[in-house]
Amino acid sequence: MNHPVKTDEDLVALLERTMQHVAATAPNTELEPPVASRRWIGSVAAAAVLVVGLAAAGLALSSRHDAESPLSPAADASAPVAAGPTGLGGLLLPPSVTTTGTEAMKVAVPAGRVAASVVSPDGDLFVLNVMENFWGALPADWEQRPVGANVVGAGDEDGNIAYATVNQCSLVAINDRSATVTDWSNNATSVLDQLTLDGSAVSIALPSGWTSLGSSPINDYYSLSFSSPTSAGPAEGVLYQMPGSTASALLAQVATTSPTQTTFNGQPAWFVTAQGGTDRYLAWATAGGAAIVTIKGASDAELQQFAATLTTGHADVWARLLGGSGSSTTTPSTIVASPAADCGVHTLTVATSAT
Amino acid sequence: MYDQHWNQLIGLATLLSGSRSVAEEVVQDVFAAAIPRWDSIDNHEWYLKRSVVNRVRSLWRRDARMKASPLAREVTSGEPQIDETWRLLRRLPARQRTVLVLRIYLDLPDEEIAGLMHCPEPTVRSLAFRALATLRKELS
Repeated sequence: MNHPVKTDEDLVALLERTMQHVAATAPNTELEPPVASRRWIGSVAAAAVLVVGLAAAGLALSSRHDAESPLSPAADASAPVAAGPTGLGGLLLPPSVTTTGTEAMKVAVPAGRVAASVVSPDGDLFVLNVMENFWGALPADWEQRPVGANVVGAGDEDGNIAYATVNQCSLVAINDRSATVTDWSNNATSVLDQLTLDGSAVSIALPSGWTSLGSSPINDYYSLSFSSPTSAGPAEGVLYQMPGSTASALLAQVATTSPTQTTFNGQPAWFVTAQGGTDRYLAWATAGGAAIVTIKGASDAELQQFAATLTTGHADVWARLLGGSGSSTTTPSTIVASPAADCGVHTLTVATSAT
Repeated sequence: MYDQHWNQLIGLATLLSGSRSVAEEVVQDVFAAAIPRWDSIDNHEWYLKRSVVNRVRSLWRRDARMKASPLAREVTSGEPQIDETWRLLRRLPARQRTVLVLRIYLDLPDEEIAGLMHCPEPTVRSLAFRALATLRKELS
């Protein structure tokens, strides 16, 4: 018997009936024998722990300045962010924010985290995270290889490959944001080979041809889901903002890949593509921090045009959005670290090679 | 604990993989990997769900390399609307399907789904919005 699907409630009810049926009666389907080892299967649980750590560790970190690079002037990585409106009044807002479907959220990030983003010569994005070593040792079921001066483990994060290495004080994770499904790629190995851990001091000397988008602490950030009028009709968009930080740090929070540099409002900016999709994103330095915007189906030019319409000075609207129905503050759960007492402050230095 | 979570995890893995036998393999692997570190896991239910989601995703990646799919066979329920809905669900991008399964089958809030999928909460809403829009268009 067919049930008409006229409303969202009808659709959800149909999906629920379908899922209950399939979960109870799905046929057995044998997978082909794997051509690769089952190493990935055995490592994923450990990778999940890493993901939790990356998302939740509220550890004492700090960043140092990046070396200047052609793609990312030092200003993006290390210079103080230009003074601008503070608090909610410093957040950008699109002119169509009052339209139906707008939702805002503040994501509270534990203090002291730091991220760096680097790009391979062929344009692949890699993201580095440094935190206290709450693992002790790499999981035994990760494939581990000596790379450079470190033993590195490989795992899976959200369909992409993550690498990690540890010493007494530091856990360093490097996420491969490229579309590759091959672990230990040449790009990954070449950048891992240049990673140095000395207690709490982590540094990486990028190989020739690699560039840095910068490194900086990760602050609390805000997201705003909205509907924007386009030539093809209303389209869904999302605006992310991270006050007091950089586009590089904000990019590390959004699943994007393949950055290409541009400028926006006279500042360094990047176009990136959604991982596993085609939607485009524009990331740029704002007066008070950094922002990323995407609108479904929008071109790069349309994203820039839209970004130019954003304005600050709407603290009251933001307060209403964040306090209203459908908005929330998300705070990652905390993993309690047990750092060595003499580890001191973590640092992350990314240096580009002279070419 | 094994009995407590088994049926729900099998259902989750079946919906994500499309196969009961694959689901059993996945859930067995999840428990095998978790048992040695059981005492160090704070939230077993969350950990097991997350591991199932990740392991099925790894199978997708593996099968992409092999140019094969674990979702090759149809489900025949005798109810055309359910068969059609399942066919459309399977055609959704994997992340969209995962969000709907976690939302509707497990009745999880978006915040928890975001944690399981390691993505921002707005991304969960976006994936769900797109998935439901696609299904609504096809089924209306």
